[in-house]
Amino acid sequence: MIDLPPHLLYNLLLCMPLLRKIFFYLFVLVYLIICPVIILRMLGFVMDPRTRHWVKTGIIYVSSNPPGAAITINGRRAQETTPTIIRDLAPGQYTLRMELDGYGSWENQVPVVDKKATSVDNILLIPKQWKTEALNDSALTKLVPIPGNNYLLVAPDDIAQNISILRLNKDIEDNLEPLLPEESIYREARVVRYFTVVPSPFFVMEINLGDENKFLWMDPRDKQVHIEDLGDLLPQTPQRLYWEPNDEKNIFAFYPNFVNRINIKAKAIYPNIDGKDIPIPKKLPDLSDAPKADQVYLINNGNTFLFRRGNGIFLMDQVGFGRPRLTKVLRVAEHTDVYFAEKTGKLYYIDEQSRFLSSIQILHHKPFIPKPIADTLRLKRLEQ
Amino acid sequence: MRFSYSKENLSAPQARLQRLFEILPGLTSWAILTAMVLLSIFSPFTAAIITIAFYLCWLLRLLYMTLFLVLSYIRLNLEGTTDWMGRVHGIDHSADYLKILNARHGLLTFKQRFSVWLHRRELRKLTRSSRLPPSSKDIYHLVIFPILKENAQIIGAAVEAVSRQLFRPKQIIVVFALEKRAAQEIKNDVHAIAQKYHSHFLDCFTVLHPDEVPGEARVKGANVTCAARKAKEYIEANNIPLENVICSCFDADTVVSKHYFSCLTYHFMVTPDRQRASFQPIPVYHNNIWQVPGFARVIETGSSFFQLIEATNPEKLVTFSSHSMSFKALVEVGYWPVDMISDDSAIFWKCYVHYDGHYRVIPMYVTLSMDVACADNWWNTVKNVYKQKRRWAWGVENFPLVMRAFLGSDKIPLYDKLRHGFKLFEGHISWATWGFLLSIIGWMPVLFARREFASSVVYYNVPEIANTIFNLASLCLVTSIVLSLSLLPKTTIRYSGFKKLGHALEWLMIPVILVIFGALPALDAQTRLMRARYLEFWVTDKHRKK
Repeated sequence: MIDLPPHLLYNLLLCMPLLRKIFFYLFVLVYLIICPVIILRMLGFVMDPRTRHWVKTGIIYVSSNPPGAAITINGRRAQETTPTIIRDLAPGQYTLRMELDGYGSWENQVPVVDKKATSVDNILLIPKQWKTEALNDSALTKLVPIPGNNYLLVAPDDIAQNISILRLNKDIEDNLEPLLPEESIYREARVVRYFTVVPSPFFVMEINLGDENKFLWMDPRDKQVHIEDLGDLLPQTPQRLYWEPNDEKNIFAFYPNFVNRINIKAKAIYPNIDGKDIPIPKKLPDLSDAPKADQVYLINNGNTFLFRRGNGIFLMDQVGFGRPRLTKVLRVAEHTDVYFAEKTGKLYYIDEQSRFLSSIQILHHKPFIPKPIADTLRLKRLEQ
Repeated sequence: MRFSYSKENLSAPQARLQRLFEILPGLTSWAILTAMVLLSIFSPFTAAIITIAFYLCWLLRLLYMTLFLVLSYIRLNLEGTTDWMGRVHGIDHSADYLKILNARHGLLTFKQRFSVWLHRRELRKLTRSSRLPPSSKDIYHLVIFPILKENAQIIGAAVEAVSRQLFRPKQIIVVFALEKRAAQEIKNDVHAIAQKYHSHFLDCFTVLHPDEVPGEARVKGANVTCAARKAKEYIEANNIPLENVICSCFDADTVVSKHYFSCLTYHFMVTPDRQRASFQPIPVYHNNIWQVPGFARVIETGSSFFQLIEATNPEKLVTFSSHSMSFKALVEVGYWPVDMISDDSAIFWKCYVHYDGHYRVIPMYVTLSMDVACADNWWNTVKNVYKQKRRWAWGVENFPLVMRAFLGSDKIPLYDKLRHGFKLFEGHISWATWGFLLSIIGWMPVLFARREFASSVVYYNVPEIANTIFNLASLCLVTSIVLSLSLLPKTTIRYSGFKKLGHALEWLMIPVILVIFGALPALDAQTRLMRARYLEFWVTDKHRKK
């Protein structure tokens, strides 16, 4: 029981109305004092103990992929590891360094502006040793990505029967499988080119069989690849083919002076269609800041460019300050494409030396500290 | 003050004023919620600042309320062993009584000493006022039970509790206010119970309330008013002075403790202005507390806590649910409103206005137990609880009436008008809005952040500050959990320890309960009032397992 003088406790319990008044005014006073202090703190104002004046500060929000990196700011070690927020920083330039076992360190000059947050978001830490893996044991010359999907095509030459498809399931890859069935009449054909639409799962393969060119529409979503010969629907070779990503029926064939619509299921051609009936391709992610390259992927939740220039594969941070870090990853076979799969976080390529299909783990973790939600939503719409 | 406490038959100016004050609470609540949503989208900086200022205010208010909850609970505990009937007898022989009190002081435990100290204080106040009470043998209790759908199990338990009072049963009159439209089975049950207890009390009889009485709505107030009128005839016929009668209007499921009427008699006797007072006990919902889903348990415990806190502020206390009052005052003000759903609070305001502000509620630290609203399955229980809370929130219908009365009164001090008016208004507004602001809208600035706001210090600091505030608020939650476990009735069911642990964890549903069974029904009620879509009385289903 409370060890108070009896009369004090009695008064406490009896004089509730008076007590309520006292505490009410006390709490009002506390509120009037604390509320402005907290709001100032929220706005980034801090009391400087030396000058006893309010000073405006900024913060740095730091996150890395993978997380848990030790942070040093202007040579002083921070208590927290990534992801974290470093507060109460006077405006100016800071040298920020991140270190994690097994990975190379990252360092850059980070500006801090008063009342603003500088976001050093999802910095991809580069492993000291890249993890690569050979996925087959025969030489290849071609890698055809089907962008936005979980499979890609590889081939040692242009013969259709030699094309293999690699399906990606979660973190592992299936074995390479032939694209065409053994009994396929197109097996002896020579592949001329591929038509793909981001992120459609379908693709069209132009082949040369005998004296004629054929166009095969392919749906590899199932184990058994579904093939439609577009045959007479494309009497001339189009400059370009386009279709809505999820549309299984209609393809738009672009010719120099006109556009035809083809209905695959009905086997019908709708010639010379009006421009307003042609669907507008979805906007691709803004790669205007990307380096000049032969192939570019925006990975790590939009914070890093993975690109191929010639036969070199590079990573570059997309940060708005300091020097962007450029890292060379590896070299791939000349004149071959590469494919980055979001699902596995791996880059698929044809090895320069062995010419085997290989993979390299670029991202170990999904970036889990998203950018501001509005940005994330905008990014998702672009990816669609 | 002569004031018709009703929204019917108003003159044109009064009708306009009535509509204005009916619209005001709902409009204010919607304005607050809408403004915060719009600010979150179009000016997140401002919304974030207001949100943090609001969270701080909420935290301090919560700490303030928790402090008084603890003090009130301690007082309830301390008064738990008081011999009320002994005090009543003592006041009857007041000359020698004080001497006896002083002589015993050294032999008492702490609880007893506190209680005696309190008692002496009350006696001193009474003596100074020179408005001495009648003798306890001249005091009568009129107990009214309104009945429509309640079965014999429920009514029987309530009457049985009244029969076991330490106060003399032969000074208790029990009246069953039975609706004519009640089922025949219910009528038979009531008649049987009246017969059974007829000779136990001074009298026990049934008053049948006819349907379709002009000027009446289908509300409990009309039923109990009819019963009270008949009871007045009975009392006058038996030459009992009205000023010696205390009227208790109980819900049909109310089970009073055996000390209730002796405690009530005591408070009636020691209150100098006893004819200008209502007496409010602490309602608990223990009749079927272990038979209902967890969320219902948490809500009703919260309601009990609210009354415990309100009891610490008698200057602003308003009657709620089952309570008691001077029968003379009830007669003088014209009984309960016959066209209002919230008759329990309305009768207080009616008395307050009638007596020009010279009317108050005396808190009694004694409990009476009622049923938790429930049904035969979980989903129906959710609906019943929601409807009950909406009916409670319909107490906002008093606001326009009270405001019109205040505007028309020049005898009630301005300070009191402002104090009561503000509390009534603010109480309903916060009831309807705070749940939404805390659980949903407060997070919107961060959710809808555009790039400019998302790159500011505010964007990163708001969640951290909010988390700190909520962590501090969890201290109050822990306190509530501890008190609720202490307040709950002991259970004889198996694994009672696990049951109590489960109940402690049920309190984690508070954020959801706050919105669904707190803010939402209140906003629903205010919106209906605003749109003049008046609520019909809904009788809470009472289900108790045998």
